[in-house]
Amino acid sequence: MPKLETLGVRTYFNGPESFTPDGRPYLGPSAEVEGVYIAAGMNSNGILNSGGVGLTMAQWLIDGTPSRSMLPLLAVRAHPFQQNTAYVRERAAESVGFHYGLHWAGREVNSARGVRRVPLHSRMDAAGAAFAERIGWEVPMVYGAPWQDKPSLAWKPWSAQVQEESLAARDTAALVDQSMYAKLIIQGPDALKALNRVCSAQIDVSVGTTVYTPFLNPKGGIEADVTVTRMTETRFLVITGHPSQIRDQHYITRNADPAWRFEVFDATAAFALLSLHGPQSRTILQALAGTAAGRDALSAEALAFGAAREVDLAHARAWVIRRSFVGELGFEILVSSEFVDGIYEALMAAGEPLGMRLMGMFALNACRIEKGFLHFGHDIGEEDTPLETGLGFTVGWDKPAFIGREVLLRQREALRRHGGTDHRTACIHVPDLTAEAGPYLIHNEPIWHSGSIVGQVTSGDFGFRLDGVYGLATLHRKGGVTPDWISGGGFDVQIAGQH
Amino acid sequence: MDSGPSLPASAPVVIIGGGIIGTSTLYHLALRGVEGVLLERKKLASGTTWHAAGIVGQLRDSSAQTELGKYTARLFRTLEEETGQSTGYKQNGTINLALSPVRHEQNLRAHDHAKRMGIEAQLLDAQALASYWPWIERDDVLSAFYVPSNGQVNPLDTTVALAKGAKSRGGQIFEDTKVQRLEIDKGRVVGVVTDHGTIRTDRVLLAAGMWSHHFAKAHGITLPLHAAEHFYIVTEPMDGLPADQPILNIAEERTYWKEDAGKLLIGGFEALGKPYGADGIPEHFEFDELPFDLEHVSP
Repeated sequence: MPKLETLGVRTYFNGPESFTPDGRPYLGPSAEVEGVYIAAGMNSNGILNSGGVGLTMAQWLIDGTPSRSMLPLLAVRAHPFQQNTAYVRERAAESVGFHYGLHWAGREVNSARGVRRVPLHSRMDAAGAAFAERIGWEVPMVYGAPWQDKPSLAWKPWSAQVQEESLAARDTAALVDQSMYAKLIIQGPDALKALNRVCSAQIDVSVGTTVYTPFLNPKGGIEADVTVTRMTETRFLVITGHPSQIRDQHYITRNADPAWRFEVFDATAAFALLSLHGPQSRTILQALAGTAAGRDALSAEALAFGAAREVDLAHARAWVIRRSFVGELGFEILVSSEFVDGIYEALMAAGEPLGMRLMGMFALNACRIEKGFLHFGHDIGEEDTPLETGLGFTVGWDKPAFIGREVLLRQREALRRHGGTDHRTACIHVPDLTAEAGPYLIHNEPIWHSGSIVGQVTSGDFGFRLDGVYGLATLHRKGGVTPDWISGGGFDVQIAGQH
Repeated sequence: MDSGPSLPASAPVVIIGGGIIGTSTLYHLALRGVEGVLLERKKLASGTTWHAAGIVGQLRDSSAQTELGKYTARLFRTLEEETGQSTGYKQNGTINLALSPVRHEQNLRAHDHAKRMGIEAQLLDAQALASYWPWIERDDVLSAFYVPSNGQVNPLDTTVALAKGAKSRGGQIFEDTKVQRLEIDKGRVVGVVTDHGTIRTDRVLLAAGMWSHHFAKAHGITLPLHAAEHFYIVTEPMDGLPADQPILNIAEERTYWKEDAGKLLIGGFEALGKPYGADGIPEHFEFDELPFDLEHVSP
């Protein structure tokens, strides 16, 4: 564009630089060898990163932990398959283009695709899934709307389908393939001790119970956001997001007493994970139960919220966990991979006549924001405690020592004195915005109160069930973000320059 | 073997790689009173650091990362004073143009974000943009996001300054010392083996840039990265180009424009780059330049 055609070129230069599959550096401890730390893969940002990375790596090497959250940059987010050199070579070419590429929800990569596929991948493909790549996984994002490279920060080429999927969860049923989530079996005589050390929640629950819990660090900050299901006295299943597959295993083992007898088995590939949401979800599931006793086992009385049972489904046995990340009546179905095709066929046969739809991650994310459910990495991280983020209910105050307990106890005292912590997560709704025109809350929009910035949006989207723009935000106030202050109103969010 | 000082038998921390990242870590360890040892296969900064454009932006997605960006800019201002070694740092600012509606909305959002992060930023009107960059066509510019406190630095000089600051506090640097492998015992690192001997240590930082992937892989460590070629051109000297000319980013055209000793340096990030070193980086690589590929970078 610049009018410089007449200026001669003195030097043509070409030199190599390092690029990573997701365009971000890898920093911090390696998962594989204790004592080996990593600071590499700067993606042409090495100079501008050098001061902060040097400062942070020195803290890590001396103190064992950095002073600030490094969540998106951690080396332990990598999966071991990414040691494959052909994969990193092909992706590096495209990573160069992440610079100056548009960052929007539909940004997609085209290189090194199809590396990790869930057991039902071909069926999801046949059902019209548009897939996005996440650490090698092919993740169904939406059904019935192909990718289109038409960047938008509001209504997108697939928004109509996201709307249909969201409304199905509200009005009938929606089925999500979440098999790419990591499943970790923690087992052995001391498995309970290992989990109770890192989890804020009491894990010593009766067999057949699922607990939602963060893992905490010594500052009370959140290191992971998982569910733990007690399958037997000494066997626990941890389900966590795919970016945390390695990180969470590493965190459990690193914090365990070496004398404890337990093992972590990565069962991600061993199990498929489907989730079924919506008012018809129980009816559909019961249609697969085969017997009256089987149907009863799935009733509201027999399977209360948070309960987990191994039950008959179609011709298989599957763990059914009563829980929903979209905030409807809902169930997670965890089944050994070889049975999932049969269960899927039976679910579709029972569900489609009732209006059940497949739901992708776009709708799942929009629904959980609408419901105010937090996402690790966006709404919560290493610098947020459960008491600051509405997760105080997870804290097992009476259980034995766990990491971060002392900080939480002090914070609980302060909370009782002031009526609120200085930082607090809140749900927000911006009135009078349409799905078509927006603007949407996305991330980092400042929140104003009485002429000052008092917080920012941590995630946001259009919520189709409630037909409005919804988000999660973190608010700051010296002396406490109290319920009175919040209910007093006067908050104003700034989106793209507009209040 | 060469006649340089011999390696210590042990060290509290060994850093592998003498680029700006490893050297900065050595410096920051020294600031904390930890006398680390840095090992570099050839000369400091001779891999990818030396040819970097050296643009110093501060605004990041998160508060934590933005704090670190601001810290880096502060460090570059004080390092020269502290060490007596010039870093070439100048605070000439950056201007990001938007030529499309989505990019324009992102400029507006970035401006909001900068306000919250405490980084002064302005959306320039056409007249202000013309005063900073009179040489460009502006008809298609929808917005121009200006951060005056961003700047640029000389990467090689900065690495030397960090090395000087580290050494004055007890950090040790060994150039022409090639790390061959890690010694690992029961899943723990216990030593670093080089062509000049072995150092016992229980803390190692792998900061070997484009060499890191294969080195890590040889030890079963996951580190997904690969080198790709980066292209820029430098013009003949340009009359009337001030030393504090703000850096220009034109995302739609995938180019950056910066002043470089009275000339214009124009670099780019192509939508699809060229991987380099499929079979590893050549053994002799040291301040190497690669052949320019005019066809590849032509729009």
